[in-house]
Amino acid sequence: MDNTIESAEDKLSIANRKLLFQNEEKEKRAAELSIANKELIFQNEEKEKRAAELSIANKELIFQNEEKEKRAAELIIANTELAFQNDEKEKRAAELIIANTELAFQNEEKEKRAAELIIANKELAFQNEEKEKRAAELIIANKELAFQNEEKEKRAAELIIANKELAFQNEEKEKRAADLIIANKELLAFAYISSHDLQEPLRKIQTVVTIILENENKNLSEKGKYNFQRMQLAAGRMQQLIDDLLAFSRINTTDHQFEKTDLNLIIEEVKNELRDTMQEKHASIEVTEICPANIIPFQFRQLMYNLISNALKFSNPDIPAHIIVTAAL
Amino acid sequence: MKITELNILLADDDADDCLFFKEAINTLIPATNFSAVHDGDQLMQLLTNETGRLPDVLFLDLNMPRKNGFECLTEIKQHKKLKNLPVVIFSTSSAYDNINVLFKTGADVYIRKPSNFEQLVQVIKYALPMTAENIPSKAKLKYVLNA
Repeated sequence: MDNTIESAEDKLSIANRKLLFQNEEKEKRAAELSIANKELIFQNEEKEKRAAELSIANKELIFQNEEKEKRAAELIIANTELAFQNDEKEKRAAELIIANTELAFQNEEKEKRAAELIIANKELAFQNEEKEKRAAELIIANKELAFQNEEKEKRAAELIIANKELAFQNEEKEKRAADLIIANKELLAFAYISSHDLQEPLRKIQTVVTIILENENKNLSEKGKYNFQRMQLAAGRMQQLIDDLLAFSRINTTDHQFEKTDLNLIIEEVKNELRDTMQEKHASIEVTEICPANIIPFQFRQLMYNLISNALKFSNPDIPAHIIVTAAL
Repeated sequence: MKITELNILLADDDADDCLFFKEAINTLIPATNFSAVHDGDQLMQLLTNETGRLPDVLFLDLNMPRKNGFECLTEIKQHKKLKNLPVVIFSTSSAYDNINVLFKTGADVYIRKPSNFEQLVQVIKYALPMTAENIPSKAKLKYVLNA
């Protein structure tokens, strides 16, 4: 038992010392705390001042915050607008890219063309030089021509005068020609009418002569008959003249109409007309290789009549006449 | 119809020609019934007169006053009653161009007035049977009688 009390007393002593020490320590600590407290109070005061300042600053910030929110809302709207514009610009950019590609292609083409044009340009420049040389030559030739031109103008002036003179003469001649054509027509018409009218009394003279010769044959002396026959012959010649005149005037007064005509028919007609003369002369007509032809029937008939009657008239009376009519192309 | 019963009409303004014609007809057929008119108007009046007997043949001169022979021929050939009347053109003209027109218009025979009485008698003689005998009208030949 003693040990235990002694140990307890030891333990208490130790503890007491410890507590003393701790007390001292705590007093130091309290002093430090007091100082610290004062310091804290000061700091507290400072912080309260600061808090007040912060409160003011806070209000300010809240206001600013609100302002910024409004601004943010505006910015959102603006943003949406910008996003839309952005889309549009992207579309436009896509289009521009295509256009750009096209322009790039065109650009290449133009460069090729430009290269060609450069070559062409050089060629033209060469030609230009040649032309300038030629132009120089032409200027010289031009001067020569200008001189010649002047000469020719002088000549032309002379010719104009001569021309006027000729034109005047020409007009005069045309008037004269027109007059002549009219006079000619009148002459032909006159020939036709007069020969036609001349026939009438002549025909009557001839008819009366034949009537007298027929009916008064017994009452006429031989001399009277002879004279009547001479009168008949003269009247016959006059009739022939009138017929020829009439035929001549008809050459130009009737229309010249060509008709496809069988020449055999025409020759046959002429043969019939000349039948008496042919019998007298014991003549024969041989017609070979005759074809239809485009002719003026009246004139061709007259032509054949004249040819054949002349052939008969001038044939040798001792030999029978043989007339050959043939055609060839 | 016999030739002696013929009723012959001549339209000609020339008195001499009428006389020659009458003498020629008398030489041919003395008993024939011959009459003459001297212009186209007279002719058409005579022919269109309802009571008169139509001639059997008409000899028609071309150059006549008032109405010429061609006009008369045209009227006759367009006239219902007269179109079958035989017409012999009796003219001095020998213009062959006109003759075809006359035949187309309906003339039956064309006589060019001869300058010899004997020939006149002959052509009238030729012309008369052609018009008087029974030649069917369609088959009628177109004759030019040149002395």
